[in-house]
Amino acid sequence: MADLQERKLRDAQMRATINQKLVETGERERLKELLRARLIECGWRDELKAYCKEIVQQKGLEHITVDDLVSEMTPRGRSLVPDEVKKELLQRIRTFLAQQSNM
Amino acid sequence: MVEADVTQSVLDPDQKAVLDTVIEELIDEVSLGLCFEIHRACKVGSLFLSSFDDTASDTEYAIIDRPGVDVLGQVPSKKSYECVCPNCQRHLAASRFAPHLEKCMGMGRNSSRIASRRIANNQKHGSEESGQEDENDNDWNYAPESKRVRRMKKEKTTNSPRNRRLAKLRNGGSSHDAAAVANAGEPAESLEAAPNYEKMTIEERKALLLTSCGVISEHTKRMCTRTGRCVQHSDEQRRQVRQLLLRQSRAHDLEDIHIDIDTFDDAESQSLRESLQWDASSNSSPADSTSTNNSLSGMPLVPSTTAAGGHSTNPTSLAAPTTTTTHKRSSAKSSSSQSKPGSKSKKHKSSSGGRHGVSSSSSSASSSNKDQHSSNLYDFN
Repeated sequence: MADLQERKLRDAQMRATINQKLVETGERERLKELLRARLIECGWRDELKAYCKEIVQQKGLEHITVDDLVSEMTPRGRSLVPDEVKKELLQRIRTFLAQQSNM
Repeated sequence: MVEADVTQSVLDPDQKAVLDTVIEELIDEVSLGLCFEIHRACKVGSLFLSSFDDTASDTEYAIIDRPGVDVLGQVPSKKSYECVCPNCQRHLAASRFAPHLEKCMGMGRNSSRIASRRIANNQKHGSEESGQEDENDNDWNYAPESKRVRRMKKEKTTNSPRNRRLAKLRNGGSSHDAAAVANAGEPAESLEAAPNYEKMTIEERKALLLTSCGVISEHTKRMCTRTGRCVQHSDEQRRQVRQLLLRQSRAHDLEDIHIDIDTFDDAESQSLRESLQWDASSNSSPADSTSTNNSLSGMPLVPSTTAAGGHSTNPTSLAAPTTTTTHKRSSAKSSSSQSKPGSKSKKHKSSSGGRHGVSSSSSSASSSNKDQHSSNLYDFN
C-alpha cells in the first residue's frame, strides 16, 4: 500500500516535471499541432464529429451544452485515436526527453 | 535531481503509463477544441448545413420525372378561381366572368355593336336629321337599359337553365335579334302596363302627367316615371304623349260625332301619310318585322285605339300585320290632330291605316327607304 501511494506520488511528480518541460520549451504546442494534423489525416476528427451530431440530435439542438458534449466525447475521442498516432506521439516525447536529459 | 528523474523515467519502461497520460491529456485537449467548435456550430445553426447539401437535398428535392406529376411529384390539380361580380355580387368562375359581365352590366360585344351602329347611322344620315337622330338615340339608349333592368331582375329571382339560355340568346345575337327576343318576352308586361294608363280617368292622367315625364317607351310600353325634366326624353315627346292621352279621354266624349270623310283635306292627308310611312319604316327594324310582337304586343292595344279613334273605320289596321306599335301610330295621329283637333283626326287615321299597312309589309327597314321617308318628314315638319 505504502509502495503504491509512493509510486503514485512519484508519477504525479514526474508528470508535472515533464509537462513543465514541454510547456517551457514550447514542445507541447508543437506536439498538439502534430497530433491534430495526424488525427485529421486519419479521419478521427470526422468520425468524432459525426458522433457529436448524433448526440446533438438526440438531446435537441437547443438544449445541448458544452459539458454534455465534453463528457460524451472525451472517452470516445480517447478510444478512437489510432495506435500509430499514439506511438508516434510517444516516440516524439521520448526523443524530446532524451534530448533534454542530454543537455 | 529532477532531470535525473526524468531521464530515469524515460529509460524506465514502467514509466510508459506516465507518458500515456500525458498523451491522453493532449488528446483530450484536441477533442475539447472540437467540442467547442461543434457547440458553437450548434448555437450558430451551421452544424447541419453541410449534411443538408449532400444527403437530404438529393432525396427530398430531386426532380421527379414521372408521367402525370410535375417536377415536385405533386399531381397537378385544376384550381378554379372565383370572381365577384361588382354589379350583382355573385360569385362566378373566372371563365364565366366576362360573359356574365356582358349580361349583367350590358357591356361587351353587344354594346360595342350598338355603338358602332350608331356611329354608322350618324355618318350616313348626316346632321340634317337631328329630329330622327334624337328619336333613334332614345331608342338605343332606352331599350338596352330597360332590358338590363329586367335581366337583372330575372337573374336575381330565377336561375333556371331555361332563363340562362334565353339570356344567352339575347346576348349572343345582334342587337336586333336581342330586341326581338326581348319583345317576345314582353307581352305579359305590356298587357298589364298598357291598360293601366288606358283605363285611367282624365283626372288621373292629368295628375300623373303633371308629376312625371310620362313618355311611353316603344319597347316596354311603359310610361317613363321620372320627373318632367327627365333627360331621356325630349319635350316634344312629352308633349305628344300628353296630347295623346288627353285626346284619348276626350275622344270618348266625341265618339258619337259623325265625320264626313269627303270633306277631308287632301294635302294634309298626303303629308300625314308620308309621316306615317316614315314612322312605319323607321320603326320596322328587323326586330319588329319578326312578327312576334305583331301578334302579341301589338294586338291588345289595337282595340283601345279604335275605341279612341272613333267608330270602326279602319279594318285595314286590324287586318294588316302592323309593324309599328300602336303608340307610335297614335302619337303620329295626335301630332296631326294638333293642328286640326277633333273630327279630322279620325279620317286621317282611316286613310293612313291602309297606306300604313302596305308600307309596313313592304318595308323591312331598308335604309334607303328610311332616308327618303325621313327627309319627307323633315319637309313636313
